[in-house]
Amino acid sequence: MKTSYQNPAAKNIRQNWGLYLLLLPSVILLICFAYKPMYGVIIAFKDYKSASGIIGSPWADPWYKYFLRFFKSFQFKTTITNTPLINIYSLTVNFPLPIIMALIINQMHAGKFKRVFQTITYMPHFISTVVMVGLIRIFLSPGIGFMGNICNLLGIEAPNLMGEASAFKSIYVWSDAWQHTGWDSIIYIAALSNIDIYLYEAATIDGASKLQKLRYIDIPMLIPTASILLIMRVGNLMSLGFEKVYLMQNDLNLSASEVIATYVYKIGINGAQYSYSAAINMFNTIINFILLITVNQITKKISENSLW
Amino acid sequence: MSSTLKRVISLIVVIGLSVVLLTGCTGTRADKETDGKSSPSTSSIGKTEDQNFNPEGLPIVNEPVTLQVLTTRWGSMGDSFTQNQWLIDLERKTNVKIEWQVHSLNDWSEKKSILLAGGELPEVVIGMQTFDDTDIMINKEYFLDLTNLIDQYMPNLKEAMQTIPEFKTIVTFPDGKIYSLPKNLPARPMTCNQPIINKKWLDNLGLEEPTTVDELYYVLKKFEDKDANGNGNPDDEYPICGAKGLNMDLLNPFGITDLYGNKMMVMDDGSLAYYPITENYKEGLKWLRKLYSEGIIDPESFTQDATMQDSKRKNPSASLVGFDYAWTPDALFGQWSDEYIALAPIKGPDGKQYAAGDKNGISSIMRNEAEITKFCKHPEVAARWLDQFYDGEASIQNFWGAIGTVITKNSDGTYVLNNPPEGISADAWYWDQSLRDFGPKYVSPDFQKKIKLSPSSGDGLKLEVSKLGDPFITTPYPNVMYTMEESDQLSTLRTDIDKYIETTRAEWITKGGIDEGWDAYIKQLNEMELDQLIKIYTDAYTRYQQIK
Repeated sequence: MKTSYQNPAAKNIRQNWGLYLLLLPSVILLICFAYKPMYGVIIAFKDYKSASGIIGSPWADPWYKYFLRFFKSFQFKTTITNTPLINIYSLTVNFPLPIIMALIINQMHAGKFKRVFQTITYMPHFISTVVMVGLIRIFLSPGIGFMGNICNLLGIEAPNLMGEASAFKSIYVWSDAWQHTGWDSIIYIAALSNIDIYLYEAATIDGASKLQKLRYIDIPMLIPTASILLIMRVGNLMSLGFEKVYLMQNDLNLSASEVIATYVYKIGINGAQYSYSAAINMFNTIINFILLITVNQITKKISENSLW
Repeated sequence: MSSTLKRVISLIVVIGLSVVLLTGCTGTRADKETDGKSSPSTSSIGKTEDQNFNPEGLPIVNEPVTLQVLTTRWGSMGDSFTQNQWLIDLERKTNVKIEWQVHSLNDWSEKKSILLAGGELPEVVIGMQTFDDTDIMINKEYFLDLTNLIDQYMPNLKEAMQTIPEFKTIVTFPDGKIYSLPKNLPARPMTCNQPIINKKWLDNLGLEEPTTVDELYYVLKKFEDKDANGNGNPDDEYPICGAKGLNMDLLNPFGITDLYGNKMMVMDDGSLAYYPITENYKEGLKWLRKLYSEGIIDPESFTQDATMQDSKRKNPSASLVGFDYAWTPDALFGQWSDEYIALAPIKGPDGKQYAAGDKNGISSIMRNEAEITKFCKHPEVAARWLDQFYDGEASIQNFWGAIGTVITKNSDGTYVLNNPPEGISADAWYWDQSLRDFGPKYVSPDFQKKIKLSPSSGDGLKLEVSKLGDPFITTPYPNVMYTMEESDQLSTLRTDIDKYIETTRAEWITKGGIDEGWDAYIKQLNEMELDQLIKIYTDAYTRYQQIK
């Protein structure tokens, strides 16, 4: 009896041991693949040589050598502006679109059409990135592609969009929208289907129109989910899925498409300069972390929704 | 009742999962331990090494020993070369079983970094494309110094080093040790890539073979304007077609040649030049800009990948590409190969002709063809195994294919190459049948004389075609060796500088503005410490000159 007062955490664990057991695999996973490798980040401060190992390599002189090299590098300005710009563009398009789509799907009542519509919109999500970029490239090719053929039919000279630096961000963001909007809307649809049916009934009795129900029931009920997802996305503002950008790059659009992730890849994996690329990536992660905390605090103040 | 059963089942599942995860977590360590301990059969060999290993004669070992050998191949060639009868016989004769690890060069640079960073290498590495000087220098600890092994266990190679002294100097690293083994190749042409043009298109339009840049421009312009391939559509021809950029051989007429891809040239007076900052390069780009603005260069040349380029080159209904630089005229265009012929080097604006190549034969003597790593359990076995490659008959079979399939040995002691099967180019056939360019080889000057090549196909054809360019070969910047610090700096500097040069070039060719942008370009390159890069190249070159 007494012990249970002395140590509430132990009591909690003893009472809900089944739940903690369920948690165990993910904790082990995190320790093995996220926390254990983390000490490797010290190679950002070392002159790392794979033959000497992480511990055996000598410290860089001065310790911030590789960070300094990045700040002075030719690519610093390009990568540091392109990364957030593409992300902010992507956020303004790909954050509201799934919400809008979920609201539309929620309004549909014909069961079969709704299911077909949903399936068709989320199917593209399963196309792999490599195939997707191949599709984009062939689709936009002025010589042999779909767009080129249409332009030829209309008698216009087809622009080579993949070679236009100014078009890169739009191609990237809107192809993403086509591919992922349907899939991303699933979480909102789930949130909407959890809304208590009595709320709608009460609103109907009060004489609310369809639009008013959307405005006063659906949207407010989505805000908690939406703000959590927003925080998570802002936390990734400085990082960008690297495969798609890398695959879409060419010499003509590089000024708009070089981002931190692709630069780290070129330096680290292609150029075998592990310390330098670790330093760049670490710098990037620190900025991400600061952004995440800031946005979390802001949303906490405004809407009382937050990660912690 | 059923709820307790469910609970029990879920409990079992959870425990099972955690066990899987836990073992997954420690998996790497377990692997390492077994590797270190080595399986019982090999450890017994270790103990009884003296009885099992024969320092001379065959077999090399009495009880079979397994060697892991890693090598790389172009594209999707795969490991068909391991079926070469000579390699199969070697395995039988020596009792050394080979466990091949064959990687594609398409994504080798990534795999290589991961392999080196992972701290575990196979026992023997083959092919100069697999690890370059920098890889070896930076990771010296991984590779064995072969000096003593060569002395004790490699009589063939030792003899080769006496016959051709360069065999030894080329593999001696700046610290005086030998980390890799050399090769030389039989019957090497002097000229590298040569201009090739679609002869059928010329005939269709009644044009002469171009000899100067102006004539070339005239011909390409006609290719673009007219229906050169004769399929009724005047707009589907691509006189020049690139992938992810243009072939820099196109600048050959402007005196720009770059055999090893490091952008350095040795001028006539023996001085060095970094070509992207020369006036000739500027003039060459202006010429390419003119071609691009008039539609002669495929507008997708900078955005499409090699697959799309290839589909244009081998377009099934009609040939689409007019002009390119290639190893042989039949190398690039699949079913349309017969339409193409090689041209003499195009005369530049200064009236001179230039060709990229090497007067001693292209990559005739190279290093880094084989390395033995410190993970090798029986270095002496590996050394003796590798020594078997340094023999004339072995070398030609590893270069073209086994005697009986690719090569025929005549009764008078000479060797001739057979014709490839229908539908495959000779070069592709050799690559399928042998290690080809990669791997240790030694063909002595005497043995060279016994090889008879037919001038109508394959390497014989290349030798024939090469004669067009041979009188005009420029001196290439040699295959120099860098110190540790130099190779470290080199990779940092080149990542940024090369990319900047390529993007600027792409922009100038597609949008123009070369004259206006030139000064800013030079200024930017200086800010990126180009002088440091050139200094490294110059220092390494000076050292190289002194060795000789």
